Amino acid sequence: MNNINMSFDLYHLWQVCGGQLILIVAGLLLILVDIILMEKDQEIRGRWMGWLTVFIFAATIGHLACREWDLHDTIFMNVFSADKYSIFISIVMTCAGLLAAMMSIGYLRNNGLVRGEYYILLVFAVAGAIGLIQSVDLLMMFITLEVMSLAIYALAAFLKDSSYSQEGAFKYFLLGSFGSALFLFGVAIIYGTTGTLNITQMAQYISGGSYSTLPILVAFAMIMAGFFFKMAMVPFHMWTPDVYEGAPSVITGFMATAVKAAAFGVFMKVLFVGFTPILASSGQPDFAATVNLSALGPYWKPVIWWLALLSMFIGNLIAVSQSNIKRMLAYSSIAHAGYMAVGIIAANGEGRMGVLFYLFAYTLMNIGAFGVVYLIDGMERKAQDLEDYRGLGYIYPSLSFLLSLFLVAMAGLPPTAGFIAKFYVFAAAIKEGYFLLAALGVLTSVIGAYYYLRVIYLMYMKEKVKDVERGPIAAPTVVALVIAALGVVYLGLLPENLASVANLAQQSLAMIF
Amino acid sequence: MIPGTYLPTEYLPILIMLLFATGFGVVTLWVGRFFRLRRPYAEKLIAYESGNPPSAPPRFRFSIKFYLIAILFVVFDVEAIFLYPWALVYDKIGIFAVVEMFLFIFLLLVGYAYAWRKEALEWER
Repeated sequence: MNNINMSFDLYHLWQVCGGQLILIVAGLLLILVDIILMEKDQEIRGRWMGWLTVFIFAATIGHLACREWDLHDTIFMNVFSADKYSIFISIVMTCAGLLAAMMSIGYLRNNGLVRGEYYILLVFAVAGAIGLIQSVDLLMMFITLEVMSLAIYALAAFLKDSSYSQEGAFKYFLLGSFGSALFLFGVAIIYGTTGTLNITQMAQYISGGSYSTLPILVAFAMIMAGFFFKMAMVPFHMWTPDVYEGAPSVITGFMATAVKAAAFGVFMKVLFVGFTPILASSGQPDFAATVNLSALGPYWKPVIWWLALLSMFIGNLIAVSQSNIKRMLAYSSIAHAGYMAVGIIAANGEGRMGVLFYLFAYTLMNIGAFGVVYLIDGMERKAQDLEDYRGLGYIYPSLSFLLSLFLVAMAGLPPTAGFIAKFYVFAAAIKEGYFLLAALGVLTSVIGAYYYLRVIYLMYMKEKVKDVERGPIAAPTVVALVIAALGVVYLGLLPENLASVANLAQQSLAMIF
Repeated sequence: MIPGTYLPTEYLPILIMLLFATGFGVVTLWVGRFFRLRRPYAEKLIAYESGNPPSAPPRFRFSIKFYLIAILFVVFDVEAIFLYPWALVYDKIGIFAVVEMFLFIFLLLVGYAYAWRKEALEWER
């Protein structure tokens, strides 16, 4: 009991969990601001809440980027860790939150549902996501996973009058809970077998001799399955199209990026720290024995090999036949999960770096695309069919240009971030000898190029058949779109800076303690 | 401890408790079969609802207000339950425990203010 007192130190807490603290305290303040402003009219309330949220996310990014970068530390008896890896992914997720919050100001006004809860839930979702990526303890991982997920379920159901939104959110809730339950059950088995919830100690126990026993393998499979639900990998992707189609467009963009980044980030942390010999190279004698964990490779590598392949094929193939653009982008996000999994299966530094780079690039291009989709939509579901995009290139040239840029990036064409990201993950896979997977992956991205470029084709080379009236464009949305577009082009032309940062981040995985 | 040989023996009482509780229910019901009378007739076999024959199917839509009240009850009930173990050990943990608990109560207080201001506690709106 004494060590609680000894290890507790407010400054230490601020250093390690500063990002989470800012978001939680700010979320509470937002609740109070919301009830203080309740009597005011919608316009003022929406502006205050929106800009406060933008400011909160910006402050969090500033704190994460400036203060914690060189810190390697843990707190609360090794429950949360601050290392470059978690900071990198936290920044990716907070950027997604920032861009989503900026777009939400205009989105909520266009759809006439300015409500404070929206921003509060967004802030708490990012707080949960940062907690998830910082946790080293499996139980804390579960709690923060739920903090994030519950906020997202509510946000997905935010269009109260739309049955699509309600249906999607309910499916998401049921399947998401199922995934969380699988994860929790796996954690329980791990705890029953090894007697620890800390992933580094777990790695030590497992490598001590029980690495291929049945309970460990079952628990490993369940934990992986739980994360695959959140990552929307193929056999676990059923909820994705309905949820992404029904949820508010900006939230769809946020879900497809921040939640995916959180799920991929924590999955890589658990997989590489807990179930591969990455710790053996940390130089600490305690972890030298974890080199035995390479015996688990033959169990998880084929699984991820097939799931990556299926995600790429099924995601891209079904996306071709979609007529709703949000549904198309949902299937494309499944395909992107497959590409990122190619980087995970490589299991080398380049692969992990590629996945981190991919997450950042994907965040920019996907949120950007959904931002344009909501602007062209005007009111949710007014103009979401691909047919509505016919001839838009001449009516709304700048919006069409931005959408084209983001779609080209998703298709993976140079000179955009999407190309570099795909290049990194496929190069890493080839380096490890996965020629077939890389070749098939490139093949599927050709299928992908078909449906991304079809939208551009419809916009610029077809006559319009229907009058589409975009909604009013809010200034913060424009800023967010321009930031995303510049980021996509910048990362496509000069990827070295981010790549070296991502490389440092992935190296720090081996040094959690 | 040799890695990988951990057996969570301290949880054995819970397992015994679980088996005992399940066994008690199953065995008493099963043993009862041999002693009780069993003379069914039509009125005895109809569904029983507070002494009256059921008048309508029991599955109809409840007002959402019930769920709201139930959720609020769960939130503040859990708060009260957390206070019990805290009250037993706070003198041993010291100032940390006091600060921690007041932080927790403050978090719930914000939620309470929110629920109050948003009229979640009013039945008629």
